[in-house]
Amino acid sequence: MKHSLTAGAGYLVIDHRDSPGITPADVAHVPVAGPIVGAGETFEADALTCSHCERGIVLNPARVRERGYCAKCDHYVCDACNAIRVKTGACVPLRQTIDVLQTQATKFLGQPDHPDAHPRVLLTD
Amino acid sequence: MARWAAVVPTWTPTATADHATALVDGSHHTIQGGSSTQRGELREVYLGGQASASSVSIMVLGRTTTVGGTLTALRLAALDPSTAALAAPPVSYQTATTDPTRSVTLGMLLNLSFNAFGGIVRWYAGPDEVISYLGNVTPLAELSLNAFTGGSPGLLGSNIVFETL
Repeated sequence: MKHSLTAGAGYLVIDHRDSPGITPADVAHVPVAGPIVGAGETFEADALTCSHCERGIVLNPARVRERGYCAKCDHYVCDACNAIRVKTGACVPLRQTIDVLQTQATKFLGQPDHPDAHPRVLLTD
Repeated sequence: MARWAAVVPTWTPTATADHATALVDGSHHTIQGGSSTQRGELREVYLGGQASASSVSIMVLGRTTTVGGTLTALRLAALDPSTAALAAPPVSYQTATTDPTRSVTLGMLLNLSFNAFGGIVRWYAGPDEVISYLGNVTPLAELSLNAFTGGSPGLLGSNIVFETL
């Protein structure tokens, strides 16, 4: 039984105790935020994954905004998936998608030319 | 099932933009499923900086939109000595005839930016907090560790631990 949303979390460590580290300016252009660990510092935090897309979620203790949460799968979700969840109410965990794709791939094993043999989930880029 | 470690002892990433160019040989560390139905989960990513001068390395781990073709497989080590050999093991690679391309939408599942001059990064997945891959064709077949645009990526060693299901 899971006692809290953070039970069973993994962790992320970035150790710059003996390193010049990075500065906010170094990573300002990166579209996905990550911990910025300066010279001589060590960052350690619980790490979860978004159940809808499996992006890593580092729980920032200083966060004041509401954290994305899906009550249907009872799991934290990332900000991007939370926006979709709020707009559509949909909950499609990636594990569910992978189950479907794996079943599909197994069913059409050896029939690569079958129209249903290839995954129907496409990245948008 | 069994856990495996894919280790690349020393390599230098190349800063690469999303989708604009393929990840060139030797500039990434990628895991691809061993067959069209094989499923696996990432358990750990470790990066140890080996650079001899300050090297801001904007390392990301994520999916690829073009998967590698005709791969040169690197070493895989089972973590448990009693692990049975797989008929179609996943492939850890840095070199391919067709190079992979990082996805714009899901190319950054983890942001592991660090300084490769003395820095260390370890991401460890909780029991139900995994990142999955499936099969050996797009869109979910690969998980790639590579460097995003910017910084000056430096020499590092990487270790990816994953579990085949």
